[in-house]
Amino acid sequence: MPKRAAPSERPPERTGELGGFGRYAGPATLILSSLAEGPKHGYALTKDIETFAGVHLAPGTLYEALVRLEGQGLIEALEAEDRRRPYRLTSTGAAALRDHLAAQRRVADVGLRRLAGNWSGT
Amino acid sequence: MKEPSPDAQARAARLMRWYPKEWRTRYGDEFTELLAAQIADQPRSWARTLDVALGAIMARLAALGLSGTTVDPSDQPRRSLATLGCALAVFLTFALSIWSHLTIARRWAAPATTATHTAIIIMTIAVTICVGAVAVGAIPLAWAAVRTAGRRSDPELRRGALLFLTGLTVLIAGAVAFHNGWSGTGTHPWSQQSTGPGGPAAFFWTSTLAVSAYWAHPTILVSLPVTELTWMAISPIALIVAVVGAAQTVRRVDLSIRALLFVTRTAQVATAGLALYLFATLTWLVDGGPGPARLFQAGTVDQIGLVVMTTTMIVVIRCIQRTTTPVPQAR
Repeated sequence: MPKRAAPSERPPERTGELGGFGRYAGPATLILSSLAEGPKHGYALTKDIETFAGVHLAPGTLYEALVRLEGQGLIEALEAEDRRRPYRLTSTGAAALRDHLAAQRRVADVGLRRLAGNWSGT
Repeated sequence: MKEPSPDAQARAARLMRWYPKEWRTRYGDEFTELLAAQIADQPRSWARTLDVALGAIMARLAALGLSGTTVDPSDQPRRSLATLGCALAVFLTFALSIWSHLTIARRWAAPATTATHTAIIIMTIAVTICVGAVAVGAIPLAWAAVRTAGRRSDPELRRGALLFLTGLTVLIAGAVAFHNGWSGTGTHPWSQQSTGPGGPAAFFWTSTLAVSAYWAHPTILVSLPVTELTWMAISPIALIVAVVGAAQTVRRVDLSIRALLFVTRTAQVATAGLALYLFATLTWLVDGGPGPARLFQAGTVDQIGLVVMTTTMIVVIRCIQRTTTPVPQAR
């Protein structure tokens, strides 16, 4: 029988607005994290994400996530600069990213604590 | 970042064409720019082409209100409703074709098996539920279209309504004129055995005449009277025109939340009818048997019909989920 999770290991009440993104939650997190630094257009986003996460976001996936994020009001489009349109994080997007990363940190903390407890010799 | 060559720009523009028009209008320039820059960095990539193709499919599904986020999120419920209407029309075309064939056959001879007999009764109930629910659901939509047309001048709304009315008029007038001249649905000594009124069965038989296995048998097809062949060609076009017109109209109407919820409720009732109909069709296909003079024999077209109806019912359910999903509002 599986052990009950300790209170500190229970899932958070709210999973954040990225919960409804399904398989686009990963790209959405990367895009929001990149935009947390400041506004960027598509190409700059892909290069920044490659640099800090080592993940290459293909154009179709990037724009599918951008459309969803814009539709949810988590990012907003700025005036286009020579056919390139920069996007910036909204305050709702910043709050959603903070919630989502905090939830991910809790999962990471639990995983690392359990690894340290049971697999420290390997 | 390398400067994209004209060839890279041209290839990016070609890939862009896979996306729907409204998506291209909003994101086309910036997306082409990104694609061209990536093609300049890495000229050949099957993974990138596949990703763009998948993105285009997702954008098209979103435009139909089936998945993801539409370019204008406030437009999503109407798009889902329009797709729901199209899916219901496809379902009902096959369903009414099968039902009318069986009901008319029932006027000529009693089925040999309980399965066929029961299936026809259930189909009659299911068809009544579906057609009734669609008719009730269409009332607030028609009213909303009239109100919207009165409030603002919208050429697309007018064009949609005109297409719908033209298609519907041709379908009704043609079906009535055609079935009046056909003896198969007329008076017959066993007509009291019918589980459905002969008039509606004859009307729906002629309306859905194009759903036929004759298309796969050219030798039989050429032996049919010219009027029948002409109607087999015209009726599906009239139906498509009516459905496209209805979908265009629904996409343009100003629909209140209350009306949207009412239409969604009627669609849920219709879905119960669809499920009942599928059950009856399956009963007939699996256990029905050909019956006297092979009047009740199921053919390939009926099996194809079952697959099409199952698929469209899934689409209908998905659309209902989407119309009742709260629309995200940009803050």
